[in-house]
Amino acid sequence: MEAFVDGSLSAEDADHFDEIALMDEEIKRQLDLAQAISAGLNEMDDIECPEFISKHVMAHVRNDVKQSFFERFRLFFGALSVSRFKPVLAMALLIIVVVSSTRIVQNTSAPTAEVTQALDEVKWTLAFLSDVGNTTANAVKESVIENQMVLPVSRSMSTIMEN
Amino acid sequence: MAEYQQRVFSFTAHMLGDKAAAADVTQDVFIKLWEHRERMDQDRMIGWLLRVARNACIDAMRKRKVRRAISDSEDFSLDSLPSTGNGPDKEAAASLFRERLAAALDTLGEPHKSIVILREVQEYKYEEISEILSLPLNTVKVYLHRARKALRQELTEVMRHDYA
Repeated sequence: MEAFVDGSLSAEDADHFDEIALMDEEIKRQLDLAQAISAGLNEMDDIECPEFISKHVMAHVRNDVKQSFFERFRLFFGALSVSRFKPVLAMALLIIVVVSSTRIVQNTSAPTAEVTQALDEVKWTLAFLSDVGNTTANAVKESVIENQMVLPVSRSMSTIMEN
Repeated sequence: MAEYQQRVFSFTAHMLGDKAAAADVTQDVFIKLWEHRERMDQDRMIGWLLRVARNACIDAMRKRKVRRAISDSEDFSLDSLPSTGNGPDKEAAASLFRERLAAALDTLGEPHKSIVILREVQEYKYEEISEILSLPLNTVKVYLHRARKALRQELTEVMRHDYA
């Protein structure tokens, strides 16, 4: 019966079933009911989605993005509160200011490759620190500071000073 | 995304029989989508959305026990099943039948109800339903057969009750 209602019977089988249904009152009633149920269900899908749903979802998304930005900002400056980091950051910033000033004054002479590389290392170290601060929640492990920041910045400082 | 939202809302509205509850569930589903966006496979998104929506509907039904009200004051006869003819009597009978059908749908358990809605109302293929509900294909067909039979029995009982 369901295959007949679904239209999945072959033409021959469908005709055969139709003949049987015509001869048997109970089968006919059940078939009529099955067809009415199928038609009724097919007509059901007309519930329109209200517009406010997408507005509420987008408001949540915007708020989430804003929170994420503030959280990254907070973690970065939270990482700066590690006492061991402060002097190194101060030195790195001082070097960048000095070198940048030197480059502005002596704008005819290009920095050597070693100085350029050293400056890049300082910049990447600072960038790494912000990423570390972001990914390690509220703490920056000392081993990370030592290996990933203090040592590279020290090397870079030496190179810059020598040049 | 608007099309997905429409499909999810329609599914949840039929599951819960309550537009306000369906709006809450739909909203929660898309917020979850946002939270899981980095792990989402675009090709399987609608399946994921409907699966999450179904689980949320089941939870909501357990908490709220939302049911459609059956109108006991109106008569209903198998002889007045909706047909292609017009006229106020036939329209009234058609409207009542739809109401009875919705109530009968609400008596189905899971996953029968979900399968009927996905197959009969939203016209998903058996393979898609199998993926959405994580059920084997033949199991989906068996459940659908049982669900249709249960609907026929429920509506027949309702009619007998009306004439008792």
